[in-house]
Amino acid sequence: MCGFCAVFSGIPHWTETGTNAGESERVSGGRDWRLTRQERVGLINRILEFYGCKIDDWMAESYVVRSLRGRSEIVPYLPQIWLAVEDIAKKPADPLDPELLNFLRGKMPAVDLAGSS
Amino acid sequence: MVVYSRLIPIFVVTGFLGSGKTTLLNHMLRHPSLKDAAVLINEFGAVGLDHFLVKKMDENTVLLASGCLCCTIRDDLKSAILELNSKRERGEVPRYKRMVVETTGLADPTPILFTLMSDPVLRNHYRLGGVITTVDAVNGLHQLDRHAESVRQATVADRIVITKSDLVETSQLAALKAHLMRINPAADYMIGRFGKIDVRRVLRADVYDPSKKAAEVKHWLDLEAIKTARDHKHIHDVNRHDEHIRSFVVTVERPLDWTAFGIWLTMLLHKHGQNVLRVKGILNVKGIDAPVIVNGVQHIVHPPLHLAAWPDDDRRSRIVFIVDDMDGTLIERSLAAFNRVGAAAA
Repeated sequence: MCGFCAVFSGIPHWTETGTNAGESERVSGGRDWRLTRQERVGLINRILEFYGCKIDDWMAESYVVRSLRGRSEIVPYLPQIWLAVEDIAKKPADPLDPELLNFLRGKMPAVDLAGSS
Repeated sequence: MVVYSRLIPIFVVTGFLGSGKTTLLNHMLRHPSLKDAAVLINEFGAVGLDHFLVKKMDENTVLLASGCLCCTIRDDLKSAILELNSKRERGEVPRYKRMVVETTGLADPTPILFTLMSDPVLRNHYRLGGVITTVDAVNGLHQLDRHAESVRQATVADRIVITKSDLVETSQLAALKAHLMRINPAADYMIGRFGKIDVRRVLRADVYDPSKKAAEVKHWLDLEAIKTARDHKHIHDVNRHDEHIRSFVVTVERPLDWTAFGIWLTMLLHKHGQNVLRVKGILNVKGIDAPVIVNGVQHIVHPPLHLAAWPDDDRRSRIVFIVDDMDGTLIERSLAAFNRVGAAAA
């Protein structure tokens, strides 16, 4: 728990523990961890354009999911973002949705689209 | 920060009614590696367990608000482990180094895995070592056809032990194994004879044990087994519980963007977690020299970890999926799309 604002801090989600189950990467609380989190927020926001939403990082503890009309929800972990997006956008957050995949394709530079997987 | 290799491994023994779980457990517990294991069972059956530390649970489940059946907390399991843990800390029971949990025959094991992986206190002291599923050679095919729990028990398994093999013809045994491999080609198959198996091989399922993970991951990626499973012909019957279960390998040529992968997998499991029965594989992550292992069951994903070296010359990311009625090509396209967006943003 954060001593200043009493925010509960449980065991981090697997996406926030680094890639080696805590064995070699000192990601918890360090600069790497915050940078990764920033990158994650930026990348999620590129995807959330499709849903008319965006997220902000709140003190590296939670995410705030916002609609363009000002509605917002605070969620602790990455998986809950998708629940909040569905709630706000009234659209399924489905990575297999062909429309979403087309949208992501449209965000790619032409040189990348010519490449393989 | 929790270091998973130092946590106490829990091995879950599951299997349908009468499939020989307790007989197998009795044999396993005589092995020196499990002499210092604590054992949790749901019921004292006809076959008694001869072991120093056996505790019974009273089944009590709590369904979470999401309504997903796999995301169910087994309160009984949580309480039983925490109670044992307290006694261990106070010196009231021996300092066991492993734990074995035997499920009831009618249990879908995923809530047990969810409980072990989601409770903050448990996750600080224990990790899932592996799932061992017993399948009865005599009745296994019928049970897989007619009971969804039996199919779930097979799909989540790291080790499948076919029991009572001495009671059937070789052809029936081969048919059962082929059927099981179609459901779960990434498991290691063992034939139990009179309740006896190679216990060391069972314990190798624990990928967080540094001495065992390389061999285990190599087994996951036995692509020939997966191809054989895919090509296995079976009679279509919509009433069968495993009719739509299939397995495939998603490969990604480019190094994976770890941030994009995490976003993609959480989104996939959010929407399709009930149909993604297993996901496990080896990833070539951009900026990381070591191969990264991922391993999940439905909505539950274990913390990723590194292998010391690649198991073969193939440097592509390869992920084995076992799914219920999902399109592998679409999953591959989707991952590639997210990965490209991640690479472009980096």
